[in-house]
Amino acid sequence: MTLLDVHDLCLEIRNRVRTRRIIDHVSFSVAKGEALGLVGESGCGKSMTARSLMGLLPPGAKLEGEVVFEGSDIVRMSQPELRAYRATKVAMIFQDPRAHTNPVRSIGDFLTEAQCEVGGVKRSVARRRAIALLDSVGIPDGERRLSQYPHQLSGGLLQRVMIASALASDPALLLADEPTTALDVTTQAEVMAILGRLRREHEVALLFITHNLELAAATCDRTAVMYAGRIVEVQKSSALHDRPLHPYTSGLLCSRPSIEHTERRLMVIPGRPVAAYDADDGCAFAPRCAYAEPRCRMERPRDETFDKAAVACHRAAELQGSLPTGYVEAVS
Amino acid sequence: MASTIAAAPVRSAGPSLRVRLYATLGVSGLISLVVIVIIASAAAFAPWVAPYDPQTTDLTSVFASPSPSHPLGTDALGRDLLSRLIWGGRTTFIGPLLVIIVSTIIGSALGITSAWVGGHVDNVIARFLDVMFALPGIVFALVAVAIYGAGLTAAVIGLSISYIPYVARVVRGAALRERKLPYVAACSVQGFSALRICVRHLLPNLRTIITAQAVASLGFAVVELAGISFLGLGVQPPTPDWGVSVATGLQAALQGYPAEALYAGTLIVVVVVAFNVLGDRLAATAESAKR
Repeated sequence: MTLLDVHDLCLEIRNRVRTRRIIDHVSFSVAKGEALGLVGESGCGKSMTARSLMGLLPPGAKLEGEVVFEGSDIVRMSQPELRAYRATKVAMIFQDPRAHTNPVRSIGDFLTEAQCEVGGVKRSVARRRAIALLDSVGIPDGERRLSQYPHQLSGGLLQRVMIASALASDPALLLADEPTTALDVTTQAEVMAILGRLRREHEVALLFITHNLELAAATCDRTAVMYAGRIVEVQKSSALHDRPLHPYTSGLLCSRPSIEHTERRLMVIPGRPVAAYDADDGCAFAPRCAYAEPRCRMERPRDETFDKAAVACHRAAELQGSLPTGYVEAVS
Repeated sequence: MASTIAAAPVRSAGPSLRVRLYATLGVSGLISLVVIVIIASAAAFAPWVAPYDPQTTDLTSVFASPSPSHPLGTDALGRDLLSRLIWGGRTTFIGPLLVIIVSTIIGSALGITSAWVGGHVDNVIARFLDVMFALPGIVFALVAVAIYGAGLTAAVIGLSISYIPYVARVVRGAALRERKLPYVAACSVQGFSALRICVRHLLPNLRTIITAQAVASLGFAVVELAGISFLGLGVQPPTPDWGVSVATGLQAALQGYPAEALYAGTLIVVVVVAFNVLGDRLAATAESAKR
C-alpha cells in the first residue's frame, strides 16, 4: 500500500536576481514500511527533496507538484494541518545532531517536549517513555541522560537520541537525511543497525538519504539515484548494484574502491556535477556520459519503465545489461 | 542486538560560582558588580543603614561640615546628606530598573516577532522603530509628564517607551541569526508552534545578548532619569533622589556649599560607569560564546 506518493515535484528558489530550479519533476513513491534510499552527489537536490516533504523550505522557495501522504497533499496544506502532519505522521533525522539540538535545553526536555506539548501526554509518562526509547536505541542509563545537555554527549550518542526523539511520536514515515555522515565509521555501523532494527520493529517507512551507495543498498529495499535535481533511476537495491540501467549509476558503482583489486587510481566520472538550474536542454548527465549520443544533448529523456525499475535515459534499452558495475581495466 | 554504551562518569558539579563569575566578567566587570551591589544594598536597606531620617530637618545645623555625627555634612535645611544619598539611591535604582524591565520585555517581543515573521510585518516594525529612534527619550518623558503629571511614574513610562527601539533592534538582529540555526528547523519538524519555538527555544538562546543590552542601558537610564528629576519633572522634592540632590545642591553650591551636588553627581557617574562596564563585559562574553 502506498504511503507517500510524490508526483512531479518541482522546487524553485527565487532570490533578487534569478529563479533557480533545485528539484526538477521528481516522482517516486514509498510503500508502508518500505525503505527507499535516495543517493546522489552533493548538491543534486536530495536534501531539498526531504525538506520539501516536511514543508521545511527556505524563504523564496516555490513548491509545485503533488506530495500525497495518506491521501492528503502536503503542498497544499494549511499551517495547522502541516503542523499536525509534522507532529504525528513524519519524523526527520538530520546529518549533524549537535546543530539540530537546542544547546540550552536538556536531553529530557528534548525528548519530552513534543510528547507533552503536542501529544498532550503527562510529564511523568513522557519521561518514562523517553527512558524506554533511550533504552531501545542502546542507551541504558536513560534516567541520568535525561538531565544531561547536548554538549555532554558524543556525536553517536546524540544521533541515537535524535532517533529516539523521532520515534517518540510513532511516525509512519521517517526521513533520514545523511544520519551517519557526521559520525565515524564504527559509530556509523551501530547507528545504522539501530535504525534498521527499530524501523522493522515499529513498521516505519524510511526515506534514507545518503551519498553512500553501499549503505543505501544495505539498508533499503529500493534505491533511487538523483542527478541534477532529477531521479535518473529507481530500482531494487540489489538489482541496482548488479544491473544498473543508467550510465550515471554505473559510473558511481565503478568509482568505488574494491576489495579484490588494488587500483592505483580509482575511476572517476569526468567533469563535475551540475545543478538542476545549470543543466542544458538535453539529459543533464550527457556532457559527462561516455555513452552520450547527439540526441542526448538535444532532448530530455523521459522516465522509462523496465519491469519494476524506472530509468531516465534514451539508450537505456540498448545499454541494458552491458553497463559495468565495478573495476574496469584502465582504457587509457 | 543493539550495542550499549557503558555509563561514563559525569562531572557532578561545574566550576564554582566565583570561577564562573570571573570567567564571564573579568576583573573590571567584577569590580563594577561589587560597586553596584554595595550601593544597591545600601539603598535597599536604607532604614537600617542610614544614620538619620532623610526628611528630618534640623535648622540648628545648616550646611554643617563633615563631622562624626554627620559624616558628609548637612544641607540647607540641616538634613543629613549621607542619609539622603542612601535613601535617594532607592528611586535612582528602582526607576531605571522598571524602565529596563518594561522596555526589554516589549522590545524583545517586537524584535523576535519582527525577525520571525519577516516580510511586511518586519518592514512595518522597522519603520515604526526608526520613527521612535528619531525622538529623544526626554520628549517621551515630557509627553508622559503632560499626561500623568510630574513624578517618577511619568518619567518611567516615558523612558520605557523611548528604550524599546534599542532593545528591539539588538534582539531582532540576534534573532535573525538564531532562527537560521538548524535546531530551529528541528523544532518545526516536530510540529511545534511558532510561539513555542520563539518563547521556549529562541528566547533562552538570546538571553545573554538581551541581558548584556539591558545592563548597559541601565546606566543610560540612570543618567536620563536623574536628568529628568534634575529638571523637576521626575521625582519631586522633598523625596530624596540623586537627580533632585544635584538640582537642590546646585542652589547650595551658588551659596558656597557645593558638597551635596558633588556627592550626588559623583555617585551617578560611578553607578553609570559601573553599569556600562558590566554591560560591555557581558556583551563581550556573549559575543565570544557565539564563536
